[in-house]
Amino acid sequence: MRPLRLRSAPRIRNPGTRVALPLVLALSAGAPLLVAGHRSHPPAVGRIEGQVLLSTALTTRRPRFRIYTDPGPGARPPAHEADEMRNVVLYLQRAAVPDDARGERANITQRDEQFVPHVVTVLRGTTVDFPNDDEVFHNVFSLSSAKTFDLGRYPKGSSRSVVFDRSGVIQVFCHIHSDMSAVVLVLDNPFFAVPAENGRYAIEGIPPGEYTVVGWHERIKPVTRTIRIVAGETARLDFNIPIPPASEDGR
Amino acid sequence: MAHSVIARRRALVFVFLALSGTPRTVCAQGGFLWQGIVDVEAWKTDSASNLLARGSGHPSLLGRIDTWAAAEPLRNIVFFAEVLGETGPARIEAGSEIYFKRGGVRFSPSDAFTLEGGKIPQVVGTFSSRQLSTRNPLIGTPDGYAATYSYGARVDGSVGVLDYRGGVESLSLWREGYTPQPGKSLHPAVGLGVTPIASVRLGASAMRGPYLSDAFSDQQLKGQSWRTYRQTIIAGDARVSIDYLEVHAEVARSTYDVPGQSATSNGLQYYVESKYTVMPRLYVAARYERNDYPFIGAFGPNWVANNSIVSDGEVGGGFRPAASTLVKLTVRKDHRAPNARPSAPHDAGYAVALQLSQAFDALELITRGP
Repeated sequence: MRPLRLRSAPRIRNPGTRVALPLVLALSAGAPLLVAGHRSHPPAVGRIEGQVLLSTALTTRRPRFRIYTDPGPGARPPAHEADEMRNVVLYLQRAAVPDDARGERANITQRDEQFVPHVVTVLRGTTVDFPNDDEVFHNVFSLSSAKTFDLGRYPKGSSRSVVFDRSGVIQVFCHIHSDMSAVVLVLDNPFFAVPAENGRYAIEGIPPGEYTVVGWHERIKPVTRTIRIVAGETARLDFNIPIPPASEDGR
Repeated sequence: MAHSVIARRRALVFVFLALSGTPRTVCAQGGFLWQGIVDVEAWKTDSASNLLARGSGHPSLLGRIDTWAAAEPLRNIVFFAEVLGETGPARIEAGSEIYFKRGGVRFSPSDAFTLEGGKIPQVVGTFSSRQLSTRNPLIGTPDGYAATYSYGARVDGSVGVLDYRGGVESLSLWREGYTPQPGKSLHPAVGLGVTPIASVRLGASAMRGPYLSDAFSDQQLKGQSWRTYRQTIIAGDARVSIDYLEVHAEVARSTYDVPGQSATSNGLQYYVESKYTVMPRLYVAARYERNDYPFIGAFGPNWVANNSIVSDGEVGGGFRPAASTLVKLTVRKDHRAPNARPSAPHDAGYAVALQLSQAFDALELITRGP
């Protein structure tokens, strides 16, 4: 999964200040640590770093089971991906948006009857591709209020895309395989990160000010913290996310 | 008193363990699942049709819950059970009913091989896999493809473009109202399929075995064992989908040995069904079915074996307010040919039905709230 990369040094739409921000925001499953990396930090921005801990709640582990299946390929459900840390997103709420902040295309692949990655976070206006890598048809759709779409059935090697032009949580499903699901989290600003496998995360290039940082996972009520960003300094913020644990054998 | 407190504590521990899965120190297990579908239906039919009449032709309601649970104590071994409860004046049979629909154990080490034993759906035909209300694009079920369950074992699997299924079932494929209630005996059944391209699957299946029972007298059975009178079914099925269009079709040829008759009694039935998604939340669907099916029954020492020709069509649409909610509205009409079995009514009727289906995951409701 390629990182989300802002096309050029964006400008912050912030009253009284116009600050160049070279940002590279890595995105989602493939990235071990989503860090806003850049060649040099302008002194007028700060950063947040911290540690995400996943605490366990009542388990919702699932057997690999479909009560009724159509005969033919795809009758057996796939093994589920277990790395819940990749499904956590940390983002700033109501942060100023850089003038020319644009997210690059993202994609959610249909592979082994799963959406990979399960969670993709994008900036509003981003196009997400849904390529099918499976030997069976898939029919990707969403009925979420932030984006309703149905891409129809298409085979291996085909791809269809959706532009996510409203912020919100968009749940994505497959009409044919009811246990396939993904989430597109569409944000209004590019200040977000997905923690690495060890739980560490960093959000960089943040204009000074007071912000609400949200710890998000699809199965919990978002956890919020307030933090003050000072130019040239790193603020420390840890999150405890109470989500159901993954099973030990990778499902 | 002390015993009741201990029993209550044990019950609480059991409930907790059931909800939380077995402890994490026990490896190679996949937890617990509890899902289902709640249906509420409103019906208006006439009273003329054997197939379609409900509530004596008056507007009537029906409520249904179809729920299943599964637990995987060892890797790839899943114990499961499905229970169905139904109530309301729009039921085909009067009163309320709760029954064990399906259950057993499934061992599925790979896509190429799944073994299931217990109370299983028939191997012949493919409609049983789509009988859940959220998967059936219409409300009705083809008259010739009502799902039947029997005790036995079956294997399923797919390798490349080929898939197979086979099993041994305790009952014949029973057409209630057309053939006598069957007795228990072994019925081998097989099915094969090929998916040459992702959008097309073609399949065939067959089964053979006794279809009568020991309820009949020696005189009625002409001095032979009821097991010597056999049912043979050979069926074909096709599934084609492209873009927003899905088409399913099935055809079956059935042959029955009838006591005292030298020739077999034969039937042919088929249906064609299509569904087109108009927009993300809305689809339209239609199904046409024709049954040229034998009615076989004993009247005293004599047997009647006449074909009953019924055709019916259903059209409608579905709207999805949410991903787990589906509302369907359909109209169905049927017609029975006047030259059918002598005792059959020469009926033609209609049914209008509205169905609300809500799928649920009980554990998610518990952990996350509605």
